[in-house]
Amino acid sequence: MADNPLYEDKELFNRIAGGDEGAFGDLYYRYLPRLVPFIREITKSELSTEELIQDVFVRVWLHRDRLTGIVSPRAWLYKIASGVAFNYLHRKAIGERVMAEVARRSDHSTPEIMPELTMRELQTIVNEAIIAMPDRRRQVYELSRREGLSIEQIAGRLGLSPNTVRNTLGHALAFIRERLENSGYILPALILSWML
Amino acid sequence: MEFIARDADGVMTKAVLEGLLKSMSDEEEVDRAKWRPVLEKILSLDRGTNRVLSIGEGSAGRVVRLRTDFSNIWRVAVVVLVVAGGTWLWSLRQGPVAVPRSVVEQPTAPAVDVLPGHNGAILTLADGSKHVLDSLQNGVIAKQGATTISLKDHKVSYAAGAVSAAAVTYNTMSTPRGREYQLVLADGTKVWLNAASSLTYPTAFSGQERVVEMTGEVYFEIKHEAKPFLVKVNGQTITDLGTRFNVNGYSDEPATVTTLIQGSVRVNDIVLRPGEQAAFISGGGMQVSRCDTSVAVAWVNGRFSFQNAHLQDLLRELARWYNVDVVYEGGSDKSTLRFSGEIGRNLSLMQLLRILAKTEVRYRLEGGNKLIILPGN
Repeated sequence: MADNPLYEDKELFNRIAGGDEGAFGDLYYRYLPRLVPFIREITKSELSTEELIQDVFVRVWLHRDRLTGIVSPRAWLYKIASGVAFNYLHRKAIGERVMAEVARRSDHSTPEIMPELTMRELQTIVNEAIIAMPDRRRQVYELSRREGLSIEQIAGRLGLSPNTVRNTLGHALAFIRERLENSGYILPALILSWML
Repeated sequence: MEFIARDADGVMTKAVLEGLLKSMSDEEEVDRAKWRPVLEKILSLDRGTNRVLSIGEGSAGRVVRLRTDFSNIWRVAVVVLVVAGGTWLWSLRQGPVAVPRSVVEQPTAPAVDVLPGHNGAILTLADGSKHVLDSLQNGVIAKQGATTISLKDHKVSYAAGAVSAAAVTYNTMSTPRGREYQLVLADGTKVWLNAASSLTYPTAFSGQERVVEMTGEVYFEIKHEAKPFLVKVNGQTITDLGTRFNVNGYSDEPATVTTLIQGSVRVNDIVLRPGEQAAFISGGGMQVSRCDTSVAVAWVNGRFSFQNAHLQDLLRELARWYNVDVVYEGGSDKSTLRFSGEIGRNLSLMQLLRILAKTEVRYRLEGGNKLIILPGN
């Protein structure tokens, strides 16, 4: 059973859903060798590949509470990667059209194209979301993220049921995602469907 | 399997599809050392240990404020009420007596404050004479050969007269800690020197190339000319043809970082595009990455800007600007706190430290030039 890659992926997904950073690292290194050539094939760009890989795994991480519902982890990851990569091509095509138009109107100067949202802006929004959480939710969230406690450990420490903790963490992540979406950080590939 | 993929125009061509399906069976070795920082960045994104430092307006006009934790305000309010209530009850029982001084007195021990850095530099002329540019008024400072050196609004500029190739002389502009300076070179190139930096340049550019040498951190806006402009720093050469870029080459920073804002530069033999950053670690090679350029040039606009910075990264920058030495006590240099955000460089050190204190950094300022970071961050 342990040699079955589907079983291993699902096991990793379950552990990541509980906030396990080590499991997330395992998934990351397990899929990098496949997603790097895949994204490069779509974008034909070495430099943006790193940025887009980061984007793919940020999305996976920020949806970790929902990973247990994924039937086929491998197909789901490729789907997110293709969504992120094609979204990039789309933005780039628009950017180039704008650049061509600007170049046509003025004969010099290179306008800077703004990237979607930089990691720094994401960081600021996420930080502000954490600070704005109701006290209890933030307390549970910080025990998970700052002290690295498992759902069971948090439940034990606060005298709550594991289910309550799991739900609270889900609400905390949904809260962060909502803040991100309101700031224009779209999660296109994920909106499509959860089951494959 | 249902597969959702299109090319840029929304068309899924057969060739694109075949390439994708083929690449789905591809696997390639990846260098874990190269990819580890990306993983760490992702995991630190929602950890909440990343402190938001920002106050006031960001450089892009976006207001990012240090958020107040209301749960704490209530705790403080309760303490104030209890103390006030207790004092009131006590005064009722005692009748009108003088409240002991220690209760009324605010903790206003006149703490030494450190003012932010400001404009100023030392100009060393070719003959070795030094001019302190803190106090000079507007006007002509010196004439060297055909070149006139003048000072206006705290900016030194060089106006080249008739250039004779024989008489090229070199000047050095240097800033100590706590000073920054702007100057305009003989070709019209604008240069900003951050604190603890220096630039050596010819007073007239008469050769085939324009060559300057720098230490510390310098921002360049190169005047476009056919002659290439070369910057030498820490054993590397940056070549460009009309552009804006920043070079951070402080010897106490881990790498010499060149950030391209606009145009195109070559760092040794790697060509950068706008928005890219080349980090050169002596003995460790060159790493090019995309970056948020506003972080690298925030200082030119009078701001500190940090992105996921370690406490030590942040304090190295403060040390140069406020001219203080930082001492870490009891393993406080192992702090795992990260900082993001922007703050004006015109705050006094105490004002800035008060913001830092809200992020749980504990410190003590001694003698006006020694900042001690206490353990427990």
